[in-house]
Amino acid sequence: MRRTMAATAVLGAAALALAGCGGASSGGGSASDAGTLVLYNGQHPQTTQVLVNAFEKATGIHVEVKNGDNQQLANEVIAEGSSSPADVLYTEDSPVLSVVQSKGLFARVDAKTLAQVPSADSSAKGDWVGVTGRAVVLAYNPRLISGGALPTSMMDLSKPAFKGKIGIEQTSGSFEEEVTAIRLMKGESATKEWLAGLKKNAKIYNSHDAILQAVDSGKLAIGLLNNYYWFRTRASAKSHTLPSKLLYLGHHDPGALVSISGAGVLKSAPHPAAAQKFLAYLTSPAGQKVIAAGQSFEYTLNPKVKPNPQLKPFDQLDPPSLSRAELGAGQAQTVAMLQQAGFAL
Amino acid sequence: MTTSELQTAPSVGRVRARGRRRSPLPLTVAALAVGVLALSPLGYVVTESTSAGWGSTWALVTRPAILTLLAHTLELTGAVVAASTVIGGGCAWLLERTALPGRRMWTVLLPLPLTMPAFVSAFAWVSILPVMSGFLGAFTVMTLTTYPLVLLPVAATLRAMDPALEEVAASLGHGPWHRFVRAVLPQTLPALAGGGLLVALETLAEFGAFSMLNYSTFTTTIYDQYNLTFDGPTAAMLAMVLVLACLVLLVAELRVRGRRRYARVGAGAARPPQRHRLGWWTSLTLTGLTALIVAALAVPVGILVYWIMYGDSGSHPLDSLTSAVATSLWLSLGAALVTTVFAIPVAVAATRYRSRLSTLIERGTYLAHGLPGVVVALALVYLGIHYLKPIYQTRELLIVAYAIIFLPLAMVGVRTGVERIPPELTEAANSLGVGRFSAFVRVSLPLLTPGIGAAAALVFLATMSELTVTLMLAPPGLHTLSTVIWADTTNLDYPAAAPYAAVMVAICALPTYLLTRGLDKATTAP
Repeated sequence: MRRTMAATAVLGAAALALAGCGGASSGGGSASDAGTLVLYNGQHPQTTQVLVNAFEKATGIHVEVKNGDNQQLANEVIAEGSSSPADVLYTEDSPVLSVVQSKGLFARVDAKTLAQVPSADSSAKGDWVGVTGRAVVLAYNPRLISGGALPTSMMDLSKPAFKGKIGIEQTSGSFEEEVTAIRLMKGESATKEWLAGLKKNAKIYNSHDAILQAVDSGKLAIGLLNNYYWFRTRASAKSHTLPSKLLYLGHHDPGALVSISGAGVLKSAPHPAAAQKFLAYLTSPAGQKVIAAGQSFEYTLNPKVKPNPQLKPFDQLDPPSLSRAELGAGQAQTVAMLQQAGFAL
Repeated sequence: MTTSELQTAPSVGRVRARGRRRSPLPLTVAALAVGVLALSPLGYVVTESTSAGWGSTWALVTRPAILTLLAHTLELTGAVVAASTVIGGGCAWLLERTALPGRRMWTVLLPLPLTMPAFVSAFAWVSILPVMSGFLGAFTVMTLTTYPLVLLPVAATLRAMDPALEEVAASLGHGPWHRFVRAVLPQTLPALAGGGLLVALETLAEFGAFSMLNYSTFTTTIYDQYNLTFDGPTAAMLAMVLVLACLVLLVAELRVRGRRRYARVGAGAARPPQRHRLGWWTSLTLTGLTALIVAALAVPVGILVYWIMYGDSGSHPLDSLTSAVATSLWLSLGAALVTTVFAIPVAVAATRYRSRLSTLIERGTYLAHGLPGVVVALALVYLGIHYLKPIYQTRELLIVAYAIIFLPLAMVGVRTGVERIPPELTEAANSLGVGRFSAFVRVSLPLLTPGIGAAAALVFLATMSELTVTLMLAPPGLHTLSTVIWADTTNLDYPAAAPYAAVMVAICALPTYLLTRGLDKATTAP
């Protein structure tokens, strides 16, 4: 009998401990008051947190953020369907938004919000809005490669001269979007050839940060990444200087692609008014100033706010003219090609 | 007495008619309910994958890329299991059967790497030595973090073994090698196999460490794949391949375990066994053990301290660390409690009332552990939205998810405990007019407590470092130690992650200690 009591006491103590810890950090699932907003965030958490803090200060609306991988959150929203607790999905790039759009899960974004950024940077149907721009670049280590040896087009990277010299993150949304761009501009067979060459040449990394670190440390000649990684690394590196340089391909090359990070309000949003307010804030001069002044180093889209002056001017990037709808719709076909080429399973 | 008679001596005898008794109805119902819960993700996966159609499915699964990946995964799993079994089993033997200098200290030190979650170890190694990526890193990190899973049960079994068995073998003229093979090995085989099974399941399911080390296994690829293609049926189909691999392991372990009986009624002789002298092997052994601890524990901890001391760890405010600690503790304690409670009816049914059904349920609970976290998480998103809406995206559903994936971990501890309870004791209680449930509470439960403690500690440790399911099912605003470490290390912000990792390792020290103690007591004969 005494033993039974001892066991009960242990269980009770455990339950108490549970309750105690729970009390210290409760709040989560229940977000029903009007002053709350549930944000599924696939953007870099630091980038979003600064925006969320500013938005909460400006509006008094409390934002519950669920951070996650871009595509993982999109998957989750799709699986949740009309029962999703999410109000807003904010992602790193737009093809993911197109997938959610194709399932008919987005509500229309307020016209005033859409009018704050160039219409080409948002959904043509008006159900998601562009927030920032990001440029595809090649980071290279001048000690390993320079001058005439550098590629002049993304298409060059499949040439035997670049064997073992190029680093990519094959599972990233941005690599996928880049391949879609090549496919749309150069056609199926040229893309196939390019992928086959790249497969022979490329070293695979698991993040853009890892690619850049390899370039800076002299282990890799060229890395395919988004521009802001380079600027962020430089901003946080204090004492030592890093050798890598950026190569902007320009000239409407597929490798000069600009991708758009954007946000949409879900049809099922429990707090649609607060959700629309959040999108309006992200694209407003106030929200865009937060982006320009912060450490995210992405391009602002609202013409009233100049991007971070350290960045190469947006109008000099000379990107290819592809619509967001085209880039988003080609997703499945691109994945099929990546699978055939052995880049994906 | 010949050696074959020795093997069928009472304490190693086979379970005869006793195993055929029918299990009481409430027990069957409880075990069945847990089984259904544990298998629900698998049900979802099967439904999803059949929706792809068998023709396309077959074509998909037999692609050369898949076979390469499968070979890759099995190669690593095999290597890690072999190495952990040799290291874990060897250490156990050194501790329990040799005159190892400083044995007390080693008894504490050797299981300690269990406090080091694989992905923390991976992050520590790769942040300093990028060479550690790929197979070499994956193999090293997994072996160094999982060998205690073999060491603990084997050491406990050796300690609990009546030295008389070995003495009898010696008196029959068997040399040390024969004594080991004929008397010691058969007794430790279930512990070796059980530990090896855990190591294999851990390796198959690991995501965070391999992702950091840039080594692709089935689990990491399914994660990437699912995200890249938005193709549920395909990912589900790939997950089925992993489930099959798991099935093979489970059947193999069951074969090794067999229908032997390991319980005994007599207290045996509580005498220290005869210890082999290491002689001139001593210095070599000590060097090896020191190297092991340095690699498994000192180096990763040293690297974390380095990042905290010399890096700029200030990117998170202190209160975010304390709230992450509170959340992690809450979830890990909750998961430990719930999972252990779930494991008890299944373990009791499977060991005391062995039938096709109870074995099926018990083995079934292991399958969910073989499913990649991302697949279990998605299944639970589906189940949560459709059937458990009130607790969807709450900490409670997260705990249910942990219970599903970590049930096998709890099962090992609880089952070890149950197997050591002689059925005669409960029968005696029954014959004295005590009801079955009451007999369970008054006779079996106290004997089970160390095993239950070990099970809870193991689940606690696993939950602490769980990543994929936490990322997907976490309610908005929830941060645990592991999600913060994950977010920072993907940005290569090692200094920011280091304090969180260090705190996690420190928290894990207590359950590791409990586990060491618990398994020891669980295997000691009553």
